[in-house]
Amino acid sequence: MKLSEFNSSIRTLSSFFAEVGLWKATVYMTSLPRSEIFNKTCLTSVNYVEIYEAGLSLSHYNILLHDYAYFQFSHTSETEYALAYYPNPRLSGCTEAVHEFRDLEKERDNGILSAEEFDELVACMPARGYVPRIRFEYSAKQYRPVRHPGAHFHIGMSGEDRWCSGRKLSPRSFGMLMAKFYYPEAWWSGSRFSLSPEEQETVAALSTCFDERLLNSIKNDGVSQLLTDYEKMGFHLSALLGQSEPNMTF
Amino acid sequence: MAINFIPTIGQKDGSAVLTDLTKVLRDGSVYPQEADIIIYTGWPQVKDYDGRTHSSDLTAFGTDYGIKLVKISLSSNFSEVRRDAQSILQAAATTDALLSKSLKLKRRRKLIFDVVPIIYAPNLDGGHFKDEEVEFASNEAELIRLLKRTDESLTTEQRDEVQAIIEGAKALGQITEVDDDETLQPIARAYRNLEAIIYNFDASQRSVALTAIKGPQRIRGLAGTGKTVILAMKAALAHIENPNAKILITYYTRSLRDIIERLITRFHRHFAEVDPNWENVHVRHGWGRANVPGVYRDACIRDGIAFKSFGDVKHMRDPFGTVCSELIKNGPPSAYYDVILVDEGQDFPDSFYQMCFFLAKGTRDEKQIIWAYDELQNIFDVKVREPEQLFGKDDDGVPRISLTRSLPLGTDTNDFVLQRAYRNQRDILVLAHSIGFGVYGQPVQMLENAKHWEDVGYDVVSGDFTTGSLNIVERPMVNSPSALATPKDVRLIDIRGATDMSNEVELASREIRQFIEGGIQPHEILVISLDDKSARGYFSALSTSMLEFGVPCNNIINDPYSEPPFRIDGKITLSTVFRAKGNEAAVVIILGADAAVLQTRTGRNKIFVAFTRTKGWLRVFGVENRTFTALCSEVRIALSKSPRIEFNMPDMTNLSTIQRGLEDKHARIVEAKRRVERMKSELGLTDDEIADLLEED
Repeated sequence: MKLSEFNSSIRTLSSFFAEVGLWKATVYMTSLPRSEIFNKTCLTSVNYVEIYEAGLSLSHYNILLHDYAYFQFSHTSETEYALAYYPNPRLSGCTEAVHEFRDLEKERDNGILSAEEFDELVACMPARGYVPRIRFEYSAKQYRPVRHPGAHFHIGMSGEDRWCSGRKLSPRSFGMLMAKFYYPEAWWSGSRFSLSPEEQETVAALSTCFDERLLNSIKNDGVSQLLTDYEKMGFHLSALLGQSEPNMTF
Repeated sequence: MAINFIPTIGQKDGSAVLTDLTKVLRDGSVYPQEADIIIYTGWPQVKDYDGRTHSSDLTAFGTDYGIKLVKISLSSNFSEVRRDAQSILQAAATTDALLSKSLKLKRRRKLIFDVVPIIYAPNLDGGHFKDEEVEFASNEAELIRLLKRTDESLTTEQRDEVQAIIEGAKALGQITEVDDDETLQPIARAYRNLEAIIYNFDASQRSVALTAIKGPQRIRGLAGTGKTVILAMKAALAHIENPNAKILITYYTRSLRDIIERLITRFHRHFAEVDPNWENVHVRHGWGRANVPGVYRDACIRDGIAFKSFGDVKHMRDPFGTVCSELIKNGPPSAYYDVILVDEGQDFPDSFYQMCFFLAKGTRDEKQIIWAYDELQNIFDVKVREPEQLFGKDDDGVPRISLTRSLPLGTDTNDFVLQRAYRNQRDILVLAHSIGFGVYGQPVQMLENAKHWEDVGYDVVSGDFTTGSLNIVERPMVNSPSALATPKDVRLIDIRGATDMSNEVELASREIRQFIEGGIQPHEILVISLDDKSARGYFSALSTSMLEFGVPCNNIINDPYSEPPFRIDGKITLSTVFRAKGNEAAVVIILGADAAVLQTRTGRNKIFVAFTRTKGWLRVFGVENRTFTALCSEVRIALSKSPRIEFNMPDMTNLSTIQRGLEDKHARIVEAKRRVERMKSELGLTDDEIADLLEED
């Protein structure tokens, strides 16, 4: 993926999150620059909360969501890039915690709590890590058959797990997938599959729903060629063969 | 010219020889009357490649005498004297290396004066000593002769440079990497020159940092007088002096941690060339959180007591005061720190000081607790809480801390007052005071008398400060010495109204672009929202606008969980007033000035804090409304009268009563809101249902 496409994908994703009401801030509309401090934390800590907070406090992210989860997208070359979703360990994936947070926000906005009292209270909320960190990496340089698939996911903090993928993913597709899995309320409000079976197939539904936008985005991202036949036979993450991609492997 | 004497933290006790020698040098019989001399004891302290500390027992520096570093060795054992000689040689070599970094002090690639190491060994026969690198003195007369040996005469600029390097102020000058002078644009050049003045802050203030006094000390001064810098320097020096000592530097505003750590690191690197050992230098928030260290939290953990967070005591009238009091009542915390430095002392409750009293090692008059106090930043009230109140009384009914009682014999003071405000331009400080008091609008607070105005660095021009009298005070340049030579087409202060919020953001972002295009780095720009409620909206819109310009923002309020760095290279800082306390920037952009509250002390104090964050330029924006128009009018009057402030003395009793009434009313409204929220949740009512209920009534 070219840098210009990568950056454009970040912009589109930022607009998508704004549209679904999940967006809070965008710090970089382009590939994330290197942060020595953040990298040092990642290399020296296995504590997710510590890593998450380092990224948050350094404003070292592309897009920040309403629940203070954030995305990091970095592009080194056309064949080297990494996408990461850092959920908020105190809020993301826990409706009760989000409600408690919103109540406190309301109290702050109504002047019942000062800003600093609000910060103290939300910082005291337990960090239970309801949703794991998800990272997607695509690297031709590091590709080793079977041992290190070109496109793969890391789920959680292990770093040694590589869920191999038959697809390359853009920031847009990756972000939309996170929205679909971890922000279901927002996602299903724009999904045609929330409609009645008849309505699902209407032109209007097809043209505006999130599902088709995600599907198109995934199709555009293309196939990872850095995957052996052996891996293709085994379990891997991919997409169904689509008409627009007759040569797509599965 | 008088001999300036600075007894530093490195000074060892108990050397009668050093005391006598210092006395001789200070009484004026050694150097001529007109000589310009500084005498340090215990300074400089440096480290060698192996991490060993080397210090000079006595250092004499004069414009016509070069630098002489003296080590006193009372041993009669040759090898011990020789070891001391090597140590002073190392101290001199490192000092020489530090000075050699400045091209101002060099000619033909060499220092223009000598840094001379001297070993003074009165109990050793000099005939044995053959080291050509170190001068030897076996008696006082010989030592005096060496000290009086003249050297290359230095200009005032060179003298200041030497002093700044020896005393570590140069460490601060490296904070900004500057471009080549010829390529600098006028705005950037003006700011670079200003920084040189600010960071070379005056020698009397540096001497407060260097001076060592046994026992407690207080440092008072307005915002921008260098209190944080002084405390950071003291922490670094104490660490160099004794790397194993436990040193605490504590603060109230979370975003201060970053700047304090950076300052300590710079000072430490300047003298010791390595980073400090953070295991022994603790930079801590006063309270802490479950996931963030803090003075109270750490004390609880050390003593095995359950830590209470804000959430546990949020309904208390004074939450932090309550937890500190409880900790003390449970059995005072164990002594842990050799040195405790408290920044933003005005913000801490008394019981926090009492906790620090117990955390500090030593007997009550020897405890090294040093607190910086800004009587004006928090409240415009010069009634400082005295140590007797802050620290309370001991079991025997005697005040735990008394500055008068603990003042060591022969020491001038342990209660320092800093009058010179280095951070702010004079016009900006005068403006901030005028608005803070409300002298050109509705006065909400006032200094009581001429003495108080003088304490904060003003000269009284006229007036007797009786109720109704016309008074004029003026801020002399000497107390606001950092003058920014702003380019003619760039105003120092500007206030502009907008038609609506988006127009306001547009005006602000245009202004920011101009500063960036003029060479100011994004991280030197601080945007403060005076309107807490709309801050999120302002910052979101401004971030988007700046992104289009390719400049990212560091929105401090987007991290409610930790202590985010206030300044991140390449990013504009966005902050509320509270989070901005204690921090500073070259350019401060105020948004939401239309939401300023001009009727209350709290409201005006917020404006004061926001305005005084700038070292250089100030821009104020707001949507045009009645409040904004009133603020504009006050700003214009204040600027037209600056550096003077003219005011009719209000009735102080009346003023206090009105303000107390407003504060009480505000507290009652907040309590009412709290109860309504509770009722809603208990009875399962919605906002609309509550509103209907009130309407029915």
